[in-house]
Amino acid sequence: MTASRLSPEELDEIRKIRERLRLGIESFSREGLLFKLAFIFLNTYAVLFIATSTLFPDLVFLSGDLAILKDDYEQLLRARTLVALIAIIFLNIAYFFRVGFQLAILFTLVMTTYYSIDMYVMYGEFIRKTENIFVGFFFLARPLVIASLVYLLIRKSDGLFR
Amino acid sequence: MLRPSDYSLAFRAALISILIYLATGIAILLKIDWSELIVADSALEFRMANSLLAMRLSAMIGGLALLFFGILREKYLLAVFTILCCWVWVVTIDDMLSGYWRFIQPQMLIGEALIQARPILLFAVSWVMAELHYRKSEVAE
Repeated sequence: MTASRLSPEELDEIRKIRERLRLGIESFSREGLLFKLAFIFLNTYAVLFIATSTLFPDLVFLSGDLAILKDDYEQLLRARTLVALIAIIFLNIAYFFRVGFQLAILFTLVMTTYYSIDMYVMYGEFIRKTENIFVGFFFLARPLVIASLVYLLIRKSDGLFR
Repeated sequence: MLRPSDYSLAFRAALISILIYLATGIAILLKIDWSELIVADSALEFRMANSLLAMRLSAMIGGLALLFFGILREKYLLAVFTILCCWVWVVTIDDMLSGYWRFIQPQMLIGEALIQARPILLFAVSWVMAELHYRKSEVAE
C-alpha cells in the first residue's frame, strides 16, 4: 500500500466533499415523485436540446423560406445552447452538493422565461410556419419546462425570498 | 416602506443608479423615434429590431414597477431584487452572445448609453441583492 501524499487536513476536506455528495444523492432518492419527475424532465430536455443543436444542428435550425434568418437564428441558438449548458450543469452541481440550489433554479427559470418570450416575439411567426418538427417540439415543450422549474422553486424556495 | 437610512451608502447609491437607469431608459425610448436608433439591412430585420425595443421597453417598465413595489413593501424587496438581478444578468449575457446589439445604432448617444451603462446596472443590482441576502443571514444568525 502506498503512502498518501495528502495531509490529514486535505484528506479530511475530500472526505467532507464526498459526504456532501452522498447526502445530496440520498436526499434526491427521498424526494417526492413529482419532484423527481420534474428534475429528470428538465435534465432530459436540456440534454436533448443541447445534443440536437450541437450534433445535428440542421434539425433545430429554421429551414425553407426562412433561410434569410438562418445565420441570425444559428448564432442565437448557439449562444443560448451554451448558456443552457452552463445553467443545467450549475443546477445539478447545486442540487447534489447542496450549494445555492434555489438561486440556480431561479436563474434557470428567469433564463427560460426570457428566452421563451424572446423567441415568441422575435421568431414566433417563423417557428409556426416551419415544417421542422424538432423546432416545434422544443418550442412547445417550453411551458412544461417553466412549470417544472416553478414547481422545483416552490418546493425549495423556503427562506430564499424572506 | 423602505427607510434608506437603514441601509449602507453603497446600497443607496446602487438603488439610485438602478432607478436612474430604468427611468432614463423608459423616458428616452418613449420619446425617441425608434427608426433613428435601429440599424437594419432589411424590412424583416427592422421589424425584429422594433420588436426587440418594444420588449426592452416593456421589461424596463415592468422592472421599475417591481422596484417601486419592493420599495413600498420592504418585505418583498429581497424577492424583487433576486428576480431583477437574475433577469439583468440573463438579458445582458444574451445580448452579448446573440448579437442583438448590432440592431442598435452605436453612434447615437442613447444607443451608446444603453450599451455602456449596462455594467453599472449589473453591478448595482448585484450589490443590492448581495447586501439584502447578507442582511438576511445576519438576522438569521
